[in-house]
Amino acid sequence: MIWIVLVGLALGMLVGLAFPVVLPGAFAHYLSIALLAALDSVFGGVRGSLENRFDATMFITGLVSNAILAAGLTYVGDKLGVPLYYAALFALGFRIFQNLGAIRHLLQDRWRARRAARERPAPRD
Amino acid sequence: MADPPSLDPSPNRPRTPAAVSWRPRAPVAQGSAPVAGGWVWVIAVLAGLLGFWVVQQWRLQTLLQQTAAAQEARMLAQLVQSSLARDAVLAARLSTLRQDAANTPSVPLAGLRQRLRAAQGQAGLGSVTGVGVTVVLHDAAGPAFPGEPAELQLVHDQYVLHIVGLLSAAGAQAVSIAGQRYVSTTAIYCAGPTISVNGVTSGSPFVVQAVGRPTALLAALASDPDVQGWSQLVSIQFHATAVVRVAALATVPDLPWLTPTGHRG
Repeated sequence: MIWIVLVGLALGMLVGLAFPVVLPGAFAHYLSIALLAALDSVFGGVRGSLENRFDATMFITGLVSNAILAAGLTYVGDKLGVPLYYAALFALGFRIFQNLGAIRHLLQDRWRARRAARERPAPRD
Repeated sequence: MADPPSLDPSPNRPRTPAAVSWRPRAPVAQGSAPVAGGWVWVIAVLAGLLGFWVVQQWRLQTLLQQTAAAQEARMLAQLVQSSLARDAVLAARLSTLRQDAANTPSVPLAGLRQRLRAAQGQAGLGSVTGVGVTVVLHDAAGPAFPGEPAELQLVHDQYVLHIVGLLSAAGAQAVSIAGQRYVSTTAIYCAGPTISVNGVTSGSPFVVQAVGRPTALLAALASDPDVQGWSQLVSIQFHATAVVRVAALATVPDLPWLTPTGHRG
């Protein structure tokens, strides 16, 4: 599965590079915070996958809804004169780093478990 | 204990409060949970969209930064253009002024300088040297008459004012009192036992010097009844002096109500 996702990601990046038009600058503010929300969901998905709790349906709906909500809240905040952009930035950034730390520890635990299993003597029949 | 509020209800994050920290409570699984075949392609498409989005955002931010730099460059170019235009205007004006100066007939400056020196002398802006008289006013040195008030033994500002007026009326070109130049803005007044001239106080004896024709100045002093009367109370002596130097004003008075052309504003 991971290869399919990586290939999809690479294809998307290539299309983005080759795309003749760049997104309008007026949306840059909202797109950036939506992208951050999407990245937060991605890292949450990676962590859930490592913890064997990944749910594809919830991942997809969470990614899309989080991105839309983050951009929408930022837009509403701009209209109301409340800088919700910074609140979302702080919350999402905090969660991304928290997920990254958890992913690192999970991978480390997994690597240690494999090494211990390798060094354990094979049981005699 | 309830779950902390969260933006994302996704199960991809732990649901128990203890699992909010980085280390999961459950044993580490050896491998990911299986994903249904159809969802893999949806996630792949989403990954593609995410990649597209990331690259687009990257390009957009780069473009915005370039736009800002281009705007700054345009602004600087406009500044340079406006400076060049202003330089051209000033250069044209300079050329015109030089032509005007070349076409203007020469003015005899020697006469103007002489008149300027004379005006400066009268205004107190330059020192004046020449023959003149010296008047020395001294408080009474002898014993007072019986019942004579003490103030009659002192030289007062009105004595000095009167003598300065006499000298000026008799044709003095420049007058100084205790070294202070007498001009149209000079104030002479008593300050206790001292007299203040141009804001500088001095005590007895008071030396008044004037540049001018000595005979006329001395005659004016000698024939004045007030000077004769005051001479009975205090000491007033005057004599001709071969070289009298009356210095310029120590500080030029600040007269902001005068315009540069000399007219009152």
